[in-house]
Amino acid sequence: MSTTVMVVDDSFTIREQVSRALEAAGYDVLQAVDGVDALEKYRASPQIALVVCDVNMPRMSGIEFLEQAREVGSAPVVMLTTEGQVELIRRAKSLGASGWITKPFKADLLVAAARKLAPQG
Amino acid sequence: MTSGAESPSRRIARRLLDYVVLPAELCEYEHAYLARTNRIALRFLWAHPPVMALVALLHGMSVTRALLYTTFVLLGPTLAHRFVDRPRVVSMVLGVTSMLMAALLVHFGQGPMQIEMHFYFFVLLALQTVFANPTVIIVSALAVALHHLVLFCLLPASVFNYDASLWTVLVHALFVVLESAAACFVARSFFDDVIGLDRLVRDRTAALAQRNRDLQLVLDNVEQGLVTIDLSGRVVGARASIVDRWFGAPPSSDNLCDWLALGNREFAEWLRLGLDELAADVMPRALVLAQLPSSLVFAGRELRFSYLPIDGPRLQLLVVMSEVTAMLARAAQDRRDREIGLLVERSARDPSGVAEFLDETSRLVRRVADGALGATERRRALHTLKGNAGSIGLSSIAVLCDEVETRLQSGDASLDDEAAQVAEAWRALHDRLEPVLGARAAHIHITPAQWLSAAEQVRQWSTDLARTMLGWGRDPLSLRLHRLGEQASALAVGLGKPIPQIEIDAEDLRLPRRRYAALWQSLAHAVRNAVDHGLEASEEERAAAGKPRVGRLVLGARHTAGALVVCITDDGRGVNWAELASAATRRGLAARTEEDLRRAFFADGVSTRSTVTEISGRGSGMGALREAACRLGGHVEVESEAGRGTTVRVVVPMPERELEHELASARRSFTPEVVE
Amino acid sequence: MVRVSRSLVVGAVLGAWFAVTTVGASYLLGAHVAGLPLPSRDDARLRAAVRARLAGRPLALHVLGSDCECSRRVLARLEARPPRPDVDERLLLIGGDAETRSASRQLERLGYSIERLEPDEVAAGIGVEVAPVLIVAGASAEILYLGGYSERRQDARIETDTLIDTALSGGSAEALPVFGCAVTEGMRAGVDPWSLR
Repeated sequence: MSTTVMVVDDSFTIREQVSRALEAAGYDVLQAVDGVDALEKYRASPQIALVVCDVNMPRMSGIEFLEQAREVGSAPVVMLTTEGQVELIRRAKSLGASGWITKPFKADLLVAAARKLAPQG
Repeated sequence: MTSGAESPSRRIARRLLDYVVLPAELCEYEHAYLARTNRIALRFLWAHPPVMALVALLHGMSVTRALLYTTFVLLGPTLAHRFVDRPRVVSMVLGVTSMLMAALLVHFGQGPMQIEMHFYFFVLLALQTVFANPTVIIVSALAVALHHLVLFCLLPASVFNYDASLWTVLVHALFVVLESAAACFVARSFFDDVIGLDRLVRDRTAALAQRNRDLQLVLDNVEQGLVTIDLSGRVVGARASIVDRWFGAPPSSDNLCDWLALGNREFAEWLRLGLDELAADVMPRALVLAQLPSSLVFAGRELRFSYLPIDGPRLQLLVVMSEVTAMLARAAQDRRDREIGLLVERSARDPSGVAEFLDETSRLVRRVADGALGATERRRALHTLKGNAGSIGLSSIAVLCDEVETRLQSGDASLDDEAAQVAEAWRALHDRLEPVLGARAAHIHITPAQWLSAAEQVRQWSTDLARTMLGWGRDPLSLRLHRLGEQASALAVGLGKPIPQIEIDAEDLRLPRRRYAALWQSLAHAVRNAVDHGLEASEEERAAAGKPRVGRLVLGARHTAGALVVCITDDGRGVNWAELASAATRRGLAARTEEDLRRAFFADGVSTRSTVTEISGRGSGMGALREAACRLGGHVEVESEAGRGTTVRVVVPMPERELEHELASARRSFTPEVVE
Repeated sequence: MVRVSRSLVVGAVLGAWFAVTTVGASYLLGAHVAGLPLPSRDDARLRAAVRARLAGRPLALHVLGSDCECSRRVLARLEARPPRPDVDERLLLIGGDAETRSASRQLERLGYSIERLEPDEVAAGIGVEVAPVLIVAGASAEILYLGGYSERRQDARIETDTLIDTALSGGSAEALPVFGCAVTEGMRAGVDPWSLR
């Protein structure tokens, strides 16, 4: 049984990029378009082993999602940010984010992060 | 001392001596060690008298003598220990004493146990390795040898008969040599690896310090900023001094993040965050390293950062900072050059289009910068400017406009400032485009066929006008002369001579291309002659002759009395007529009158040069000029005064020709030549 | 200046010490490696002494000194066995301390014939001035052996009987060196002039 990663981003392009890289590496990918959508899907799929989540999203931001995700499950969360968002990242880390990946990202580094945080079974 | 000069046996002896004799320098550790060891050895030796007395007692020998002799023997080391402040010497005295003790033991232990008593020699010899000094062992062994030697020298052979025991002495000696060799080896190893280690450590430390100094020298002179930091950001070890030059003195925390924060807080914070992340070791190292900040703009510099992990007990990072300011400037310059190239190319195809673009762009830039206009209008002009620049390939302007638009949109930029930036950028570009494209834009472009047919038509109304129009297709005289001048300069450089001052004196005259091509080519010979033979080899030579330091070469051409007169005048040494005369005579030419000599000057194969260079000296150059002039119906003249200079004059007739003829020749000159 | 002179003094003293100990050690060494001198076998005094003591049988004469460790060791060996039946085995004790005397009485009981000589009589009497010395003579007074008891000073084996057997059977006449003491004043002054041993 393969490992599931949830990719949360309001941008279709980013979502697809992340998903394709992870799927190529053998992960099952679940997509969500914002924090609200992500929380719903997280509740429905407790097997999710890793969340890759954008910071800026309509309806519910990545930070808000983080705050609430702790109550749903304990999967590590990696934030997708742009370079220089120091305060946001510090806040995310204080809320339990494992780390961050700045956009634009390299697929192999994204996959390396996924492999480290959510080893495939 | 060179080892090459040594004989093998001497070399071996020297090596052996180096091995046995320790380096003169006594390190602190050895000093302390020997002080302690010598003290213990002395106490050990002082334990001998009572033991010796007991031995004497047991073997029926005199106890008194045993006590007396041992005490006397102990005087030496006691004295040495007390008064000699060279511990190695004290060790040697102790070594000799121990041998004496062994001898006394053998003496007072005579009897059935006497063989066993001899063991003591070997025991003590071995014990001397504690002094970590082969010399002590050698000295001890030599002392024993000396005892025997003295015996055999002084023994009254008449009284004693020692033949029988000689072989035992030799066997003993062999054993002593064997043991001493091994003991020396052990002592030396003990010294090298333990006792002298202090010195070794110091030597290594010194070597390391030297290496560090070398490294610092490198670091002081590299153009890259090299800094090693730990994961807290603290600067570890040496760093390239250029870092200090860039960022000033480091903060008291010695932390790179704090240091960089003085100039660029954002960068520093991002770096700090990344280092924390590396230390946390949650995310893959490669990812975190890739996400560390890489570009720092700081005090007008742009630095590129890269990070190399240094694995060790604790992870450290080598931060490599490269200044890319100049590189970026060069890249920007390259981009601009490319843009200009593109525009020039385009202008060749579509000169009016490009000229129009330049005018329009200048107008737009003025509007953008025009404070009297409304903001909306100015922005619209900016937007149009961006579109125009993009469409014609001026991406630098297009990108700049785009950035300005973005900044204006975000609201944190003043329109005036931004407009000034755009205007400045355009002005810089325009300044470079103008000389190329502006001149071109001022030209009229027609094909040779159009031109000739226009001349044909004009001819019906005015022959003069037609002649003038035909003249447009010819080469301006000044262009030809300028080319000759350039040749003269290049020649002077090639000959290592000072470059003469070149003056062009040409009438505004145009000549048919083909008719005079051969003449211009042979005129090059005259220029060569002037530079190679005429002008002086150095400014000093000219100064000595009372002339201005810089030589002068005048290239003149004018149209007088139906003839073209081209003059090449230098103010050099002048023709050496006497030499020319003898050269001419050698060639069998007449050389009596001035006229003869002038003829000889232009004759083939007459050269005053004794060596032929690749530039001149073959004596055929002036001949070629004369021939070219003759072919055009003209002649050549030369005037020269020794020390004052030379003038070569070419006169060729330039007849007014039938217009029909002119037209035909113009047509010919614009059709590709068929090479037969 | 003081320092220089002190080091000179120290150096001189140490040098002297070294010289004295070297000579002293050599001196003591001499006694260990060199045998004591003996008269030749043709010595008239020796021959006369032997002849005077012959009793028709071969003679084994042990010349032993008092106050002499080596002589005591020979005495101890002799005590361990009765006199040989095939030779006339006699002891010539020179001087004589209490210990030697008591030992010699013991030997007398075992059947050895003991003769005592004072040191000053020895030189003129038999010409041998060192001890212990073994003299073996044939029945017709020819000297068959004249020498020490062991090959080396520290040799614990004293093969008296072997020496006598070899001498009697006409074997090697090679004499062993004498390690022991001078018994006369003259000889003592010769081998230990400084009385250090």
